[in-house]
Amino acid sequence: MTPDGRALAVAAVAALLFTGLGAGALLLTADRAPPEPYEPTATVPAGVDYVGTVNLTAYRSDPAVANGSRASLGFQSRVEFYAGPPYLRSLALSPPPNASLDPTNASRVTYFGRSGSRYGARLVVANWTGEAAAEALESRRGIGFTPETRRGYTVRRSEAGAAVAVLDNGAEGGPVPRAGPRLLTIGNASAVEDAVDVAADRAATDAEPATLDGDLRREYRETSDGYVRFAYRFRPSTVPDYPFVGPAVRTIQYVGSSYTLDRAGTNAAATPAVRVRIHITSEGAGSADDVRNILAAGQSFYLLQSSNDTLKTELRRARFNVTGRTVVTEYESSPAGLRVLVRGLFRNQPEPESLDPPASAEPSSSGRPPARGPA
Amino acid sequence: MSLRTILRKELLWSRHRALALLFVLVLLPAAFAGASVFFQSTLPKDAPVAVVVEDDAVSGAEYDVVAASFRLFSRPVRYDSEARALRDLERETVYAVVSVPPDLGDPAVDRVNMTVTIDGDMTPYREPSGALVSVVSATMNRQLDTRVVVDREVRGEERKLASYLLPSFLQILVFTFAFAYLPYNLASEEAVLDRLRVETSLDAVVAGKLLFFTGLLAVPLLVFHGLGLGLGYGVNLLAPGAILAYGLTFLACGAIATAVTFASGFGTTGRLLNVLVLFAFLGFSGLVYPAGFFSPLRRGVVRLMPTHYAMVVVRGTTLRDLPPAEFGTWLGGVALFALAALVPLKLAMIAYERGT
Repeated sequence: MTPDGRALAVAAVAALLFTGLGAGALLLTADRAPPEPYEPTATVPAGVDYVGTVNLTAYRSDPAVANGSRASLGFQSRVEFYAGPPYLRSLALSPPPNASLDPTNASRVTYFGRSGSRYGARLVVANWTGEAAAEALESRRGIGFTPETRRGYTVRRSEAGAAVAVLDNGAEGGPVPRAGPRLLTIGNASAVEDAVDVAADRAATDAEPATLDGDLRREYRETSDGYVRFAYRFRPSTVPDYPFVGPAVRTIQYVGSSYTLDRAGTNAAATPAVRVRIHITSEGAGSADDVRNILAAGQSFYLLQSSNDTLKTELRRARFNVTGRTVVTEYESSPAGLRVLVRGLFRNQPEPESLDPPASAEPSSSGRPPARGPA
Repeated sequence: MSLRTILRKELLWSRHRALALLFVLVLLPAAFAGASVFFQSTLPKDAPVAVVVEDDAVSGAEYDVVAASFRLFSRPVRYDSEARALRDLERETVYAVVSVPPDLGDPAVDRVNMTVTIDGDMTPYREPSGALVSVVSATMNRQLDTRVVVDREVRGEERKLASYLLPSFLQILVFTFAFAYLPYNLASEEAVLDRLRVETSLDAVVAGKLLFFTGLLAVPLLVFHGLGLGLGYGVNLLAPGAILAYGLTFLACGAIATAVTFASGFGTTGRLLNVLVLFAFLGFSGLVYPAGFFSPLRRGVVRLMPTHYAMVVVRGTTLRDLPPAEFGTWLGGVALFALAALVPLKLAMIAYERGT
């Protein structure tokens, strides 16, 4: 090669190097694509019996929403004849006085668990650190938390069975489009660990997270736009003894509810409503017709006997439809009327007030005593 | 001849009669098994009952409560006139008439009487209606503050099952005559038919046979009537409306059976098919039990069968002594059905004539 040729070759190699380095530098300095937001339910483990969400922003800002949410949650807590999801005071709404948590940072609480079990936790969308949440619990409960590492996540566990972990610190996207800790899970250690595993699988590209799926996921999605959303599957053993068709009834599923506020007209005239869907599955289409007839008869008796005009109006909107061997019951009512409707539907069930809240029968997921207030 | 040889002969025989065997071994069992879906309950859970508002003081909620209470074991139908409801009770359009009393929802009223009227001639519904009234009474009294006394009123004499069944059995005989004996007779005279066609038309031969067999029905009719009189059943099987209904039923069914016979070339398959049709008519004409007795599905099919209305006409005229004019529309419908049955008969005869 001539000297001129060598010079040209060196120049070409140098140009290529500069081009490659420049492109690499551009790639490194370019803005990364904004992370995709996701629903907190994407971190709910598979195999749970219920899942629900409370919109805390609306709860704090609107007394009507707060009242309706409380009533709806109170109902939900008893709906599994009546041992439903935990119904406890929340750090998101009533943190201990000396806690370093800012409750106004919490925008949503998603709760999940298994029926008749201590297994359950909450997914809190808040700009909190795991340490601050653990300190708040320590302050309220007098229990200590020990940090452990699980699949790269810090899980703070207490001997009482509670645990706290930050599932998403905002670096990889999350349900709140701002920096900082975004999604925490607080609750029973098993449930928290499962949620951590789901979050770890979500972060890993080669793992499929075992998250909420099947009918429960579908039913939850169908609760759509409520301030309080809830989907649940009953255990078949809790089927009430309907007259005439008792043995034919296989399952009763309180498949979902959502609490909304009808904002038509002026704000002051807003009407709170809880939309409820219940599926009653029987052994065949014939017995499904019978169940529907029994429910319709109960509705007629209420309409005749009740002196409550509001309740009558709500009852008239109740619908009982048969699809195959399933009776789909749908109605919308004020939170106050809901209990009456559900008692009529789930015949022979005790008054919710006559029962202890479920957490008193057995310790709650975090071991605290039950108290009134949303999740 | 060894057993093996005999078995081989049977196998060869089966090959030559594959169609008939397919019918007997596959189609017939499938039809019977399939028919089982029409039978879901042993109580008349879907029998129509008329719910009549007694006066304007009855509220919509009161009507709804009564209708809903009966819906558990019946199919309530709203009527605004008690007279019309009672007329439909006689015509078996409904099987009970429920009068909704006022004040059901009035807490100041301690006791309310409600009447459920049934027809004493509708024997198979009498016992179930007693159970129905008990259930409804218990349900209403459990749910309502007002005490509800449900009285069951039987209209007319309480007929015994034996006398109730007499017209039904005669109708069964008419079906059997049409779908079993007539095709057998036609097949046995197949060769004669060809000779007769030389002297007259096939239409005339078949029409004559249908009319002759219709006339022959007079004999069993008289036998049934005589036995009924002898046994003191109080059933007038010689009522003009009943005779007309039986005759039209036989003409319609005989035409169908003859059409099947000609279409099958007087073969075994045709006779077996006629047996299948016979079972269908027996099962879905509402000959004994009220429509809605076994299932809503069966009720729907029964209400579509012209022969069901013929049976209702027979019961109305023989058991309740109603004039035939009361059933003019339904008799006209059965006559139209008989006329319509002549169409496939004519087509089958044309095909037969072309084939021979």
